[in-house]
Amino acid sequence: MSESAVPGRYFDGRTAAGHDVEAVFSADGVSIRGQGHEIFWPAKRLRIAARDEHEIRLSNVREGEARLVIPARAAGVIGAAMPELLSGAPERRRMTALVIALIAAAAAVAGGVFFGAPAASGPLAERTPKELEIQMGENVAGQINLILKPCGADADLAPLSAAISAMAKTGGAGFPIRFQIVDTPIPNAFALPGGQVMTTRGLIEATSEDPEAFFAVMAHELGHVRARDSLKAIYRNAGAGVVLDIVTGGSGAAQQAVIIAGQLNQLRHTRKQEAAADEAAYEILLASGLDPAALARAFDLILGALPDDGRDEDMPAWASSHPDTAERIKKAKARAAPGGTPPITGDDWKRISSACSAE
Amino acid sequence: MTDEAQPAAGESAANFAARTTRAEPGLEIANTSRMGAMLWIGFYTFLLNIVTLTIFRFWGRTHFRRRLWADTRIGGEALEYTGRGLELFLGFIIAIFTLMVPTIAAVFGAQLLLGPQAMIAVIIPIYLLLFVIIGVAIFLARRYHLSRTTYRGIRFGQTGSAWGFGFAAFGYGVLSVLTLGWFSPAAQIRLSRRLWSNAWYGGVRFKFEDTEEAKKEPVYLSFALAWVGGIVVYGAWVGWLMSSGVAGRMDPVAPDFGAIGLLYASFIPAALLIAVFVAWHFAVITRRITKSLRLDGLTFSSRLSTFDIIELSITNFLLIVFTLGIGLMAAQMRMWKRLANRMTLSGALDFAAIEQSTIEAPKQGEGLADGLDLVSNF
Repeated sequence: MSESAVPGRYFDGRTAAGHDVEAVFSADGVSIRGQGHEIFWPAKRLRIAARDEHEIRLSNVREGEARLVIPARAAGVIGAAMPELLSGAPERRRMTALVIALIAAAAAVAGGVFFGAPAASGPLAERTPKELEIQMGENVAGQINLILKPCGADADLAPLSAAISAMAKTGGAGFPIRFQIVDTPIPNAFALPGGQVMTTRGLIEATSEDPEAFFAVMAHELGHVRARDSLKAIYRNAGAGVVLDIVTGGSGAAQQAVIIAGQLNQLRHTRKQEAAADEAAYEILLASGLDPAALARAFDLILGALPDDGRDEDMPAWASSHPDTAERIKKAKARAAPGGTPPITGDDWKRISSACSAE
Repeated sequence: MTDEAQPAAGESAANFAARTTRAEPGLEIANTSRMGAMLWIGFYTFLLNIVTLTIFRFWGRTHFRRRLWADTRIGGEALEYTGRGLELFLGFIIAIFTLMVPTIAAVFGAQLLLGPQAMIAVIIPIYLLLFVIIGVAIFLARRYHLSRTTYRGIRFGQTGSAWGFGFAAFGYGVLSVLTLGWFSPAAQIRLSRRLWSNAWYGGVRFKFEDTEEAKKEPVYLSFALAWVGGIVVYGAWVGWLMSSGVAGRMDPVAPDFGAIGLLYASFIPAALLIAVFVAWHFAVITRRITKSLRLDGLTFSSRLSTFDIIELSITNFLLIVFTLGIGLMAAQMRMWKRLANRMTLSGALDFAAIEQSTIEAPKQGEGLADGLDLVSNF
């Protein structure tokens, strides 16, 4: 037995039989000797397949599943012959390169999600034919109506729809307005793609004493319609939310952290859109001879109608879908230009604003 | 602790080899993985997942399996996991473009471009197909997994049809729903039979036999207890929520955080109590399946106990919760370790007669399973 021979087991990768061998290491490689056979594995083809405190499993890149298993205490012999093999240096270099490449790939995906998709959503929305957006709006409205049922009699809704349409025309909303009230008590209003505007029973009841406040909210929604914000949000979410949802996986805190970052990014954009829609609302209200400060009164009425726990006023600004309400009230008040008359007032408004409640 | 794979001081090569390559009755299976090593892999995987948008998970999972396999010895010889992170990653990329993007595009498109009825008519078949694909994904993940597991230089393998398995799993799932769950133990045994009777070690095929020992396991008695116990605990919990007024304080418009807190606080003991009732069944069905396995001259058995499952459920739950999920791999290791250490292999294998697998190993795998969030670390 030569000095550097160590006992080992050899599996040839052809049968499961184990062969008792002696492994002789030199700078050129390892000679595997046993039962009258001798095999030579050159150093450059050797890899560590596994290693623990008991044994070292060596493989040969050309020999598939064949393995030479030697006791861990022989590490010194290998180390003396082939210092690089056991040092783990090639493995560490590969891992470092891998992590750098993955971080770069992740940065590219994140760039697309956080900047690319939002930047592309505007031009994409502008290039979308209006007919297609109107069609989308009808479909989305139809799906919402599966859950939120429209309410109110046509006789009451017709004059209201007409008034909102007139305001849209004056304000240059760019789409024919399809208006409906949905039967839910939470005071809210939203613009879908293609001129679909929905308000809730809760909002119209909350503004039963102040029609101008109701029209101010409608002006805000018309601002969204004009800017095609819903369509942009759909494109943004398709580009960003979906990519994040697809790429991330597994389980645990890391995935949650990435998804929350994506959601916060979405909120950043909706807050911008909301602020812009407020500005548009002032303009649309003035064009119709109404007072922008009515929007401030609308916020007060909405807050008053919300249940105590339902207000998100304690929510920090970065975690909210809308800008800070107190700030919005202050801004709207600063634009006060009183003196106009809402298109529907008095008993007519009282009747319309309770149109849904009566059912 | 004495380890067979460790040559004693001064022991001759021939002795060491003879001692550790013998194939005598009763190959011992044992896992010696340590918490520290698994927590470390879980920890750096967690950190690198954050900076790589979780893409590192494929490599983290590979490191975990390498360690777990290397720590698992059968007859003194370690298993080896030969999969690579890159293979998992490429499988995932392929799944994105062949399954996820088309599915999402179809669902999105249907929502935007179709009316409510037409949308439902398009989306329901897509979802039904996805349920079939769940089974396909499980099968493909297992095929990859086995093809990357070697023992004594010989690969494991899985043959059979992925779509066949997917449709069978889907059909059994429907039957289980229709029978209020009562078909599910039978379904689990049938699916295990389908997988194991097409599993191979090299050129030797596993057999799934209804041995006397296997049939003695009280599969349906334990299921009945789990079913009745689950319903009783659940009913008692809901009854308590109603009678104590917690349910009455649930209002989607005005959430009562005290009530929500009580809901969750009471759910955890209720779920743990249900877990106790399910534990017996889980142990029974694991033993039932293990005792049905045969590989050539080797038969399998398991002493996994109900208490093993209860203890592991509680401690692993705490381990995962208190490490914010970083301990998930460690928890999975503990489950695997218990399963392995409770398993006994009787009989013998004629290793010299077992030839290398001729089943073509898939180039990548698990992409579908990962895309559907079905993949398990081990």
